[in-house]
Amino acid sequence: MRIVVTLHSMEEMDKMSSLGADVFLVNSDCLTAKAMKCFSDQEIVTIIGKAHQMGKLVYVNLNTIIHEPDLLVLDAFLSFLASTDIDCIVCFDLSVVALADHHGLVSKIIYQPGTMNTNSYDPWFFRKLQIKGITLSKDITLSEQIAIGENYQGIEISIVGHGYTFLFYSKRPLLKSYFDYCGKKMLFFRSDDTFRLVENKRPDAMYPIFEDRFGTHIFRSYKLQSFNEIKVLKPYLSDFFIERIFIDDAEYYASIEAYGDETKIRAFISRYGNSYDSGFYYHRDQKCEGRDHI
Amino acid sequence: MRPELLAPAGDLERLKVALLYGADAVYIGGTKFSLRYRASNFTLQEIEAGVVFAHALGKKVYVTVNIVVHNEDLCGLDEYLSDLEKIGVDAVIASSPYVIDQAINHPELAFHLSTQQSVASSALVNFWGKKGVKRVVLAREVTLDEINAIKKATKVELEVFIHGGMCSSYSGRCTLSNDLADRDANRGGCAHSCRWNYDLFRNGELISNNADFQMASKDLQTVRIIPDLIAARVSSLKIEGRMKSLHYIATVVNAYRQVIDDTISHHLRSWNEYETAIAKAENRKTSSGFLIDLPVSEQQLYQRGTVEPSQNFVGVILEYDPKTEIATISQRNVFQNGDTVELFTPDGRNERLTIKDLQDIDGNPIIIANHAMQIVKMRCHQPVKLYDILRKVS
Repeated sequence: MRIVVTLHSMEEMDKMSSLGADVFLVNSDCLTAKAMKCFSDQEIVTIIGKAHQMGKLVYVNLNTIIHEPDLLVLDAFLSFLASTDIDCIVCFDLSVVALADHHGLVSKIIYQPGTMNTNSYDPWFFRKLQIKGITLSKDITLSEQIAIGENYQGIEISIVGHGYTFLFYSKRPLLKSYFDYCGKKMLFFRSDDTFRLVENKRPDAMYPIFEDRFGTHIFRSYKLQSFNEIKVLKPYLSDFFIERIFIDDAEYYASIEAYGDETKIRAFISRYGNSYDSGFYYHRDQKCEGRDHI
Repeated sequence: MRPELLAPAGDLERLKVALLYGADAVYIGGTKFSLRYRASNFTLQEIEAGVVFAHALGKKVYVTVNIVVHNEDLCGLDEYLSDLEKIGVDAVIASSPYVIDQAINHPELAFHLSTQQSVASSALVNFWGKKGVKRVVLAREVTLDEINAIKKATKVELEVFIHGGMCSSYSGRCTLSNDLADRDANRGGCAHSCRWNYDLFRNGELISNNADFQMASKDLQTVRIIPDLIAARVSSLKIEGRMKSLHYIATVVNAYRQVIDDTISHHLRSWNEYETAIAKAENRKTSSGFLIDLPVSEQQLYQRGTVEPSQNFVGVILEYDPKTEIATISQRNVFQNGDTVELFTPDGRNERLTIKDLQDIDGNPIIIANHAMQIVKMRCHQPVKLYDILRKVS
């Protein structure tokens, strides 16, 4: 199982590598949302070269819904990627798979829609597409993830197992609309990572909300950690993604280290544990209530 | 090309009303594998009855099998699809690859891809077309320009939402309800957490006022855009709302029926006329969604307060005896002798009449019909029919 970390600068590659990172996930400057740091095409080429020299891999993150006008941009970017030694394209929208076919890149794609990949048949479906892998839905339980892993169908399985996981992705500029509605003159709110939402019945839970040119994104109030769960999931997983958004560098580095070295977990939990929980792993929510009604 | 007008139906009565008032097809949920589990969904027997009714009119029935499938949902799904195929439903609306892949086992069943897949590009439309999907329901986030461009690049049928509630998030990608309400949005349990009120903080400082940060959008209303959607050769124009009332379904369907027919016959009337008709049943604020441009604050729903439900819909005709001129009515809101009501019918009759000689079900004179779903009778010189609607003139 490879540890996938989000890269914010080329300077931190050595450090992350020494902490246990196997893969550097880079955000493009064309079709990556929720990106605190993006890299130009030339920078991506340089990162790939350096990573490969280090024996590491580089994945590029294309995590937007692809609209018709995006296809030209996507096609050009895939053309660029095809000219590089990129190891993987992590995509949110199957339009990428459709276009990647023309560039011989299908086998390098991990489909990571956030939701959707929820049952044991999905790996079978995507194996037929001959893509590299799929990332399981963030909202399924640990037992569901194990069941899918046990029915492994010859395609790589991954999870986003650590950090703030997103709950909501709207194309609407919800912060801008709100400020316009209020008549608030708010400067530089785009890509500001300090906004939080609080629902009045949950005054202690602060949900990060983030707006960029692709829309508005809302995240869980607690960060996810998988230190226990990874022990049982590891045999089934090819990649384990550690999310970086809203997390400072020191905490992020500590998390990478803790997944690579069990002896570091206690210190991590002691220092940061209060802001983490187990996400949906044991969240037997009323997804079944719906079934009770049917 | 004349597009299909596709209406929602929460039960058999609303299915019949939708078709009688002008829909070319209806979409319904079964008791299994469908989102909107709070809608009063159809048993297999009811689906069959709906299909028989629709096919007799030369119209169609689609069944939603659009949950995002988990392992525990797989049990019984194949049998269910076989049952739907035997019944003769015209298509299944699905979002899960598992369901789509069952098309090969059910050659008589067409498969439409649900908006849960948030398809917004021709590349993805064609991707699903190659997987055997006959029609793709586009994401609500696509613009009219994008629809035109997509249509030019595909032969797959396109379905577009034209009226009703809007998800604030891309459909299928939202788990807000899962986290805040323990209800799985993608398996029919959406708690509409995006419509709640929130406080907004920046850098720890409260910047909203009395929890006035809201994400909800106004409902979609596209009367003035229908000619453009027809010109774009969209195959199906879809009204949202399987939980909406019989009156809402009849009114909205009938208004869009007229817009479509008048567009095709080049006899469009003033937009106000159609919009006023819709307003008789629609009490929520509306906008054109994403069709014209990216929604800004005017398309969002702030300061909602409590929306009072319309009381105009007073009853629906159950039967009529032309000899005695007695109409039997199922009451839906209070009305009484002396009230002036409008008779709203599938064939577009809009006649006024005065309520008189109200009787209870046993023929005893009453003054007022003030019990919910009360069956009452009244003398009515104009012939009326099953599913004609009575609404108060305000």
